[in-house]
Amino acid sequence: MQEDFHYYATYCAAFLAGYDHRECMDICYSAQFVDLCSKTLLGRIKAPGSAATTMLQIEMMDARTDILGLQDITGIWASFHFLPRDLYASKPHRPKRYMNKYRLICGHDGELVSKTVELAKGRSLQSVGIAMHVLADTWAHSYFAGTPSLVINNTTDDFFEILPEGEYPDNQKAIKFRHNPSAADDTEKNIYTNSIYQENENSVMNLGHGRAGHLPDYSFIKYCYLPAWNDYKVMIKDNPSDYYNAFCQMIYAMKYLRGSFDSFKLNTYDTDAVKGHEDRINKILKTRRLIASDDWKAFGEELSGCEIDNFDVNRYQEEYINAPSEDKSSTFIGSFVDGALAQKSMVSAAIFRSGNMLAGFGKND
Amino acid sequence: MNSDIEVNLRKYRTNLAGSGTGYILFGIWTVIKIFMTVTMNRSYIAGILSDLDFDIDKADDETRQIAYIVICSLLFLIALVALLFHLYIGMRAIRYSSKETSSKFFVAFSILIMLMNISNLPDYFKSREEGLSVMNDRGIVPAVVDLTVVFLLFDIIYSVHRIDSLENKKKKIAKDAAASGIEEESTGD
Amino acid sequence: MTKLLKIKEIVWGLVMLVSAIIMMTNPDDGYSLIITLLSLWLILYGASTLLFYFQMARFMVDGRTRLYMGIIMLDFGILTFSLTDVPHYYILLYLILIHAFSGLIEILRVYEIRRTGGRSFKLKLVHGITNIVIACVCIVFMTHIKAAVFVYSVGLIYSALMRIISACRKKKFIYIQ
Repeated sequence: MQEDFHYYATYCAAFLAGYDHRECMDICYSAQFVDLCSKTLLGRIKAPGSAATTMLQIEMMDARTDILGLQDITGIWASFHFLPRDLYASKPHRPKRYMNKYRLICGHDGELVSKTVELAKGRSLQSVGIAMHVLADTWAHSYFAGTPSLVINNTTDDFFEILPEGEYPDNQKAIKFRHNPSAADDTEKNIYTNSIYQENENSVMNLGHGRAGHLPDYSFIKYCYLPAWNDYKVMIKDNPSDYYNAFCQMIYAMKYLRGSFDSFKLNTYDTDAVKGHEDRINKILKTRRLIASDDWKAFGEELSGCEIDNFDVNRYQEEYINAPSEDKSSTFIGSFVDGALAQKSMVSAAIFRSGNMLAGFGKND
Repeated sequence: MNSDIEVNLRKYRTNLAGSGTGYILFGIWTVIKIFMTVTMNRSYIAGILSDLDFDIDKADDETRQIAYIVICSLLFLIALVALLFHLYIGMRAIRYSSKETSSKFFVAFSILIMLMNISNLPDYFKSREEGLSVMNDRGIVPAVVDLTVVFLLFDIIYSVHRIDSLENKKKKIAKDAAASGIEEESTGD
Repeated sequence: MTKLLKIKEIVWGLVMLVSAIIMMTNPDDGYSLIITLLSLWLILYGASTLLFYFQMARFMVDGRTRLYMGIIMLDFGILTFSLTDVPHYYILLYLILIHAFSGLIEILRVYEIRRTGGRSFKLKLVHGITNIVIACVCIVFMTHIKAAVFVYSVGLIYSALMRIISACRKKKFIYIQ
């Protein structure tokens, strides 16, 4: 997902869950910051590099792809952007090497989603924001894994957009891919950028949804494609519906975190909270454009009556740099770092306990 | 989209395209191997000639040269013909898999070549003295290569057969659905 | 290109440089060394591809091509290994053909890059064409074996330098986040 959903939509969901404007700003800032908190940024402000929640392109280029490097990569991407759905999934006649990668496939409403939300209970708003980012991404990044893997993350070249009944045979319009990083995706001509096929299993180019380009991050598109892992079954990805469910699930999760419910249940989406706003939300999700920040921002400002500041990655860095060592934890970024470390530790430990070494050794709870 | 028929059609079409590509690659590799063996193994031609009961040591220089030229030319011709067969079968398989052609004539060639390959396999178990010197290239890996080619051809034949039967099944289902749709309309009237 | 890949490319470039110098100064040892190294690399590559196929790629859509490539590479490696007692003339021809083939692959890659709208292909194209030209020049001078060895070694040095330069270049990296 992009800034429009992680920042502005999370603000709207937080407000509908009952948080006030200031709390919503802290939550949505943290949710978006997950996409920017790299080792490079943390190194610049002298924060612990192990709290990184993402990797920059330059860091990906320099990443090692031996076992230690893969554990480092998987630890970050599986913990924050591609939360595994079922660490104990089974498939007949598959060796352990294959199953280790298969079990890291991301999906919504897995056990780790409830653990992520429960982990944020009683913790800072920054932890809530981190949890919301992770939860939202389980919807957008479904069916891809947060570890470099050709056999899981590869797809065929045949992607089709599913359109309402009309001019196209079978209501499908072919999507064309190109490998030109400087050209923007063209939603009218259906031309998008994706990553090049790499035959090396552990190449970083085989991490995540690169082969599908940015399609998982566009809320308007419903499409089908053939992933490498699904035994020739086509996957249909209905982004408008998934994003709507993600929004409603975020509201439900944040209500739980505020104490409205005793427990967090999976497959539960608070559609009542959006009553009266469904048409508005669906219109934002289904409008054909690359990013919907303006519309989400307008919606959020209407809800709260307050102005939503644009996201500024530098906003809290001075505070952290200038704080004395013993007070760093109580700064905004300090709280974020604590939340990130807890999340990464929880997910890595869960992966390790399932007998999978791809995220490294995890400490016991 | 994910009915058993559709899933299996995708699987067999992908297998067919992959096997077609693989067969072309093996064809190119066969030609390269023949070329390398002929040019870089001096005793290879002598071995073939001795199989034909031609004593190369007793022949004069001119006869020896003519014999070498004839054998080399024949081998390169065989290599070229083999390559053409590989290209024909491989490209037809790829085109059939992507529905660009419906002609199945290449399957007949595939069956023929597969049977020829199978008949050659026992030679891998013969000793060097019993077998022809053209089978000097013995060992596990060459045997595996030939077995893989047999498997490839079998996969091409089987995939075409499965695609056909699945397409027929699909048409039958569509026909039945259309017929029951017409029946419902007429009973509705 | 990741750091590890860059290091691998630079090391491989240096190995090619050393091989070229050995071939020019001491052809007898040079040929045997090159053929042995090449065959070992091919055998290992073939075996690892086959292992990857049986453990992973056979469960992947269109994974079977890895099986075929692995078997061909393995066979190629074993055939190469058997060439150690063949006259240098033929070994040189064999090396020239591999060089020409790699040049052809570079040109096919350029075609693929252009077809999918990529921009950085000029260096690859120059490298591919140069490889083929060097191979052709070597074949022309085949009867003058020393000249052919010299031209081939120059070609090898050129390829090695191109590999090292390419590894050190900043490349546009399409990574979708």
